[in-house]
Amino acid sequence: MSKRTLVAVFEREADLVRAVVAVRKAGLRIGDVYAPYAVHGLDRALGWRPSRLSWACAFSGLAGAIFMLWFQWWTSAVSWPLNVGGKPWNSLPAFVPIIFEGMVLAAGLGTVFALLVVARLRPGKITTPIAPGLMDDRFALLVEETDAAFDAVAVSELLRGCHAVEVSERVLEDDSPPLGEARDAARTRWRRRLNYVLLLVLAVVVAMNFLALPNPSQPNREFLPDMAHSPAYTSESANPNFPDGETLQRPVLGTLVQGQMPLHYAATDDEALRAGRELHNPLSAKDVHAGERGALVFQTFCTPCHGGGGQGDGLVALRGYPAPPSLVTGNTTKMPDGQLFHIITYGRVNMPSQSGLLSPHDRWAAILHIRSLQTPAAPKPTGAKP
Amino acid sequence: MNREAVVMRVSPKVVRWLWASAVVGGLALALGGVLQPQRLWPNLLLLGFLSVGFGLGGLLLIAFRDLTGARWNDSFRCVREAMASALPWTAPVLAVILIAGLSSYPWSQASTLAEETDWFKRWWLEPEFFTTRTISYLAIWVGFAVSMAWASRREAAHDGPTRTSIRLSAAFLVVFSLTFWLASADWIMSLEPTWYSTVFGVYNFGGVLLSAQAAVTLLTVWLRQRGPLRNVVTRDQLHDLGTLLLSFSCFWMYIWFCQYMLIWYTNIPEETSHYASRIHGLWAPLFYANIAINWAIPFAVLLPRASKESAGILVKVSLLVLVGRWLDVYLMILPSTSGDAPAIGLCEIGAMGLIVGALGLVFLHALRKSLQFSPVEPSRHADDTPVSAEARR
Repeated sequence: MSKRTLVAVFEREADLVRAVVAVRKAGLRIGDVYAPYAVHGLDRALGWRPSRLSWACAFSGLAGAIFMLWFQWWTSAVSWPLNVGGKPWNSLPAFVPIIFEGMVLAAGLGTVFALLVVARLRPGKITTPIAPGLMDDRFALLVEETDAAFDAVAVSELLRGCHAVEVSERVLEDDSPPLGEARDAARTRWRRRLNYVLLLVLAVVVAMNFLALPNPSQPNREFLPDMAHSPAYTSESANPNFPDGETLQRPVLGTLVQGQMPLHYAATDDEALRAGRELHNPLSAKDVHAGERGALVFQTFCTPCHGGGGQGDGLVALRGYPAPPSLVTGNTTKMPDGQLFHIITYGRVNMPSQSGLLSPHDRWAAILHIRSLQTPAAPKPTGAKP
Repeated sequence: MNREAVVMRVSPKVVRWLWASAVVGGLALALGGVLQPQRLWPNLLLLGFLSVGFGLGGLLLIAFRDLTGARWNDSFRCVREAMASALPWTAPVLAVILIAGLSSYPWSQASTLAEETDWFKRWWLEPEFFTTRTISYLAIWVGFAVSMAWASRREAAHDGPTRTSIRLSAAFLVVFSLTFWLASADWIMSLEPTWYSTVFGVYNFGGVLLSAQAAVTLLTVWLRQRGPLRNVVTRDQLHDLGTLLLSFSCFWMYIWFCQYMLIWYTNIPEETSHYASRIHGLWAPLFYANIAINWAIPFAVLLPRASKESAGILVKVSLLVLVGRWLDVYLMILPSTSGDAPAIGLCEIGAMGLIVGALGLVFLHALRKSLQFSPVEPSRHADDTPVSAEARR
């Protein structure tokens, strides 16, 4: 069915809105209105029911949010529970950012999709604006000629009175949204063909993805493998440049690790006595930093068995492990620093070796603290905690 | 529209009510201060911070307009300009409150910070340095308020912002973002000197923006119902006000959650302490009410288009959001300063009454002055008004 229609073009949105009101007042039928952007108040002036696009937006957003909530619950609490920082499997605050992003994505895509469906903008469809400038800065109002009584001249006058810059009479083909005739048939045909080619390319790419199923037991084919293979030797790879054929070279015999002097004593009581004669504490009791360090080391590593005051009443001993001898009375007070150092280093009776836990400096510092415990009259170094 | 038409006519009843609110509120605050002296200063800080926030919000909205070139709300620019011109009145009050109450900050006792914090924090929170910074922030803001008002008066004859306005606004946004970020950390966050959150300033900025938009909406609708904006503000402009209110509310919630989620996720005791003292006990209902009032309810109510266009609903939501802003700052200040449980007593009610009355009077005064310089003009789309009236039939 073809319809004769008056097309009026406006340059200002206020004129368009005023023309819509005037046309409706005159009892004429409005075919459609075109504008390059949403004009405030136009839908009210047209008297049309509000757009349902916002409902599409709301529902797709809600659907996206609910899907993401479910998906995260399923992945992190059902399918593969994963401990993240000791949080419960099902931790809502952690899900919120993804729920939010999923909602925004679904709402945006859903709205665009709904718009395309409503406007029947299927792929390959070519539309031409009914008048030039409608995608830019002009507005068009379509008034349908309803019956024989329609006075095209009078209506044109009415529209021009509302500052229409151009009024023309057209015949529009069917009652699908009037799109105007294609002005350049050849160009339109080419555009349509290009759309089909692009669609075909998409289909081929998707199909090739399915054809080239990856085999997880084989390494992937490498494309431009420059970054994948370093030309440098790795520390464990064979190396023809050295006599022993290894990349990682052994240190020269007799090399010492920086800051660690070897201790030439065996783990026996005799050797401990020898150490007592030969070794002296390199730290001075007046050294405040060493005192603080010693107090910290003692509190951390010694207190569990020896107790805070060194009396052999640590928590471990209180719970039944053989109590160590007191550090502040009896034999220990007479031992020289070197012997204590040997005992801390190699262990003795029930006491294990501490050499893996404490550096030599820390061992000497702990001995300083033990000495300060043995002489309670001396002022304790500051920072020592009970 | 000529100037005679825009003379501000406010019924004396409104002015009387505002005076009554300010005086009775002030007396209640003073009485509350005598009865519960430990609650007086926190409420004064709350009052000062809120009222300075409204002035800053007005400046922000002016700067947004100058820089974006938005013209849709020029017809009621007097509202935001009147809000901004309250700043020179409120800033000295806040300065006095902060400097007089310096001893109420835990870091002002030297022993609090000596052991636990690093040298930078100790140096930063020196009382003299704190006072200097406080006065500088407020002086800078007042300077911008005065100069932007001056630039705005000069542009009244022009069509759109002048070069001076645009430059001032750009400078204000840069300076404001830095100074306000620091100021909210200095004044509010340092009430808990061992806690810190780098997004705290942005969070406060979200609150200031939301409450400023609510205040502008409320005042615009009020002046439209019974004031000089009666035939000026169209329904489409109400719709835009409502849309901005909705989006600023979402922005506030976004930033709120930014701060909460990172602290919740990392779960470090020195960071969680802030929330631990607010999410438990009697504070919990207020903590959740804050989210409901500032975001959940406005979001649900303002989502449909019809409610964004309804003056009545906009007024109710704006009032709710303004109460929400009070609650938001209340929850920042009071749990750190006084007590294990919230209390709404003479101090709180008095402070609220005082702020409503005093700010209302300052606003009316400023509006009268502002209308002399920038008379209300119908917007460029004012010829839509008869259309809307027509369509409303």
